[in-house]
Amino acid sequence: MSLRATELESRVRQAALERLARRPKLLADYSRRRWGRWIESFGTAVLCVLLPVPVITVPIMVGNQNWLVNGQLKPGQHWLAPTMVFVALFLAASWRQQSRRMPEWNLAALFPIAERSLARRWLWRMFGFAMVFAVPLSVFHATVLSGVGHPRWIAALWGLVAGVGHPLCVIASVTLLARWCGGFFQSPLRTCWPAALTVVAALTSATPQWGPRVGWQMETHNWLWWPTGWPWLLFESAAQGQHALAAGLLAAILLYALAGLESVFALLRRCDISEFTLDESGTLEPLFQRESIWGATGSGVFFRSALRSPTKIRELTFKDHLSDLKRTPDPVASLAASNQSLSIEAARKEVLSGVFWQPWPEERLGWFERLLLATFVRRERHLADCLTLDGHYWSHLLIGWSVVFWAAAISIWIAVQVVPAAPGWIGVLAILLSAVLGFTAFLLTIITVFQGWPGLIWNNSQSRALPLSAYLPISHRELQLLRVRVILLNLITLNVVASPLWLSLAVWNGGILWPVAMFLGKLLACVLVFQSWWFLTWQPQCPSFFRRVFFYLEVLVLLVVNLGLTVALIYGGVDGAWAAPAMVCVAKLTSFLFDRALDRPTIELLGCTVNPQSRSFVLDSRPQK
Amino acid sequence: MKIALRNVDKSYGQVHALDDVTLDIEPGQIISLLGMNGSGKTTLLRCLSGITVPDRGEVLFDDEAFRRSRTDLRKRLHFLPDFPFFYPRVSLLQHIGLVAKAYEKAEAGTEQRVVELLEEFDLLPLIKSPVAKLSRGQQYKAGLIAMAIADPELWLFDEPFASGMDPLGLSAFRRLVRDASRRGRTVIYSTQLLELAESFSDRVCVINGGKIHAFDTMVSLTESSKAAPGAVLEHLFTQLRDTSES
Repeated sequence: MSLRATELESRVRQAALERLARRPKLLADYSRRRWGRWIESFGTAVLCVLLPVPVITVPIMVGNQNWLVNGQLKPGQHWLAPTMVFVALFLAASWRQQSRRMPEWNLAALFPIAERSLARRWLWRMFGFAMVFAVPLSVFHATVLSGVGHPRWIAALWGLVAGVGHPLCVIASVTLLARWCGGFFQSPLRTCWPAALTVVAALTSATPQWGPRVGWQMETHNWLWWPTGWPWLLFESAAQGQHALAAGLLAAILLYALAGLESVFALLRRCDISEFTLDESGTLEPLFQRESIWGATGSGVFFRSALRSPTKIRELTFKDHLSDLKRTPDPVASLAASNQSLSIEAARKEVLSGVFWQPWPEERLGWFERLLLATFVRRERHLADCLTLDGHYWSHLLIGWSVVFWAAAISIWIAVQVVPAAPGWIGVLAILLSAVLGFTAFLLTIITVFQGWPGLIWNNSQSRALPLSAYLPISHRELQLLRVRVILLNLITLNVVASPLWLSLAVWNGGILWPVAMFLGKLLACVLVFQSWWFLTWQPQCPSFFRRVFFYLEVLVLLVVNLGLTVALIYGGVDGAWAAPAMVCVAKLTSFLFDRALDRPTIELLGCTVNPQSRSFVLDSRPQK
Repeated sequence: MKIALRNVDKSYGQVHALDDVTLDIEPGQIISLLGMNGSGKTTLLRCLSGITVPDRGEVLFDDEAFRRSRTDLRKRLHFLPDFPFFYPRVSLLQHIGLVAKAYEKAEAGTEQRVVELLEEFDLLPLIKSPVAKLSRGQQYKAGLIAMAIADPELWLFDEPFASGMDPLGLSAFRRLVRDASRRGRTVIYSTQLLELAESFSDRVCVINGGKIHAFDTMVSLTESSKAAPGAVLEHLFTQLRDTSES
């Protein structure tokens, strides 16, 4: 045995050394990316959180604390918020791009948008940013307008249109600019188009300042020259009998909306499953990762240890490997210790019993995982054979739950705040519940963002890989749908998180708490959206027809929630504050119903069967005996 | 399965891994891919398996354009990379079952076939061992058995002869592949072992700098070469190196 172990050990070591000698560059590249990802994560998160701060603090510093609530921002300051948005966008994206090239810090590589996948990420990122900032802003606009004497139904409609229009405008701008550049993916322009885009965006947001100069006097609302303000101008001009202007604005709005919609469709089309490849080289990322790092048991240990300390990469020697073996379990030793050898006869009997066709038992799952599995995404179970072993799967579950918890926590909190007539003990209970939920959500968010809780996340060491399933002829549509759902849930939650905050501000009518509340809201929103980007970066794939239907239905829910919240804000006041949590419930219920409705066709489409005993879906085409 | 590549290009940044590759492969052949390090062998295998998408050109299976979304076509092939992928905590038997289910090969008699293959590759006592605990050669054997159970029309291997399998395993591998070829399966594998390629392939495909330098039977290559039989491929590689250096 010892002779065999020595021989095996020698082979393992030799293989590890040979492999390292063959692929030092791959290893170095991988390590750099790995650290780059961490850096870009932190960097983007920090930027997302910190950049809105000046938007809040500057008006406070100039002694106009309630400028958002009361709509008292001076005309000259209106450029601030949108500009900061785009500065945030620009810097965060730049940081992200730059950090991918760590540690060179080569400025020339600041915008290397050379691959479609990268461009796609950019577009999604734009969309995400737009949603983060536009939707709450739009609700706020509606609130402001309702407070300055305009008809409330106009304000409500405007809020809705602006909420949809703003992100569409941003997408349209990006897409149109990309098209105008013409083949920019291959041209030198690719190195500067993000900068050009930022300039255009800044100019667009600065147009409010130009309005009065061209003779259009719209009094205090010159900031509505911003494209999202066009609907308001449309109503205003129509009310004043300026039909030509109204017609022009209507045409512009339709054009933008169409362009935006077309862009969304184009995005969906481009996210083809055939573009499974994700990294810049066009090669499947997990392949690269696992082939160089996780390939073999012996060399895997070796490389893992090297990656823990990236500075060691260039100087790794056999001595390092030996010392590493002392710290980590010896693969050969573990091989000898853990192999559960069966007798030939017992093994033959085991195989012939056909046990390996059975769905895998779930005993291995912990109670928490079983809870998640049973309640949240049971319908994805038909891919369980592959995907439950994939860290992504659990991460998504956790994200989903964190979203639910966030929504619940915020909703309860808001309900307590705005219903002063409720008995005191209900308030205490609700606050406690809210605190527990909020803390849980926070914990889950942290876990999912950084994907680092062994035990909760299955097979954490491969959390970013779809390793084996990528090599098997299995449809990944369910997983894609799951990703789309995560994003949408996050977006819905953004509304849920942000809008009640605005509602509470309206109730309190300002005060020192609102900037804090807004800051926290932004923080939560950024974390949630950042999660979406994080996962989109890895698998930005398109849903199939059914998924698209589902996608649009969820979008519809999102719009309904927006509309409902807007109406509640404007008409409800304190008495209508119940509408916010009620809307959350409606959204969740609708989403759940869509899920159920799509279960059957989805399953049939994928040729799966339902296992009534385990109540799970399994890939089971085995003929019944 | 009839395989065709039409003007396939693939680049990794500035590196041109495949350059206007056009190939026609008839079914039932064993084809060895030869080439220097970085010549594009693995990229070709990845393009054939759908892991990598060509920048330009197309891959045709029985005159149908192959894309990753074509699960039906993907069920007709299987790619075993030089370091096969497994879920480490899955047992050897579970892995085989997983692949078989994915390929819808849960037919009557499959269990017996699994037993035979496990015995042939000396893995039967280890069916309950987690794959991660197996040695590299054993892991490769596990992947090989799963592929044999899936029995696709196109078998793709990356460096099977440098996979860590023991001599008996290599011998069993050759038998398995020969048998598959006789049943009309197409087998494409990459290797650096010239002697092996000469003796264990119906056709040899030499890639250099992403271009197909030669794609022919050994008989034809020998006839057209000035080198002595048995040293044809070595002579070819020497020529390639000299051409590259000049």
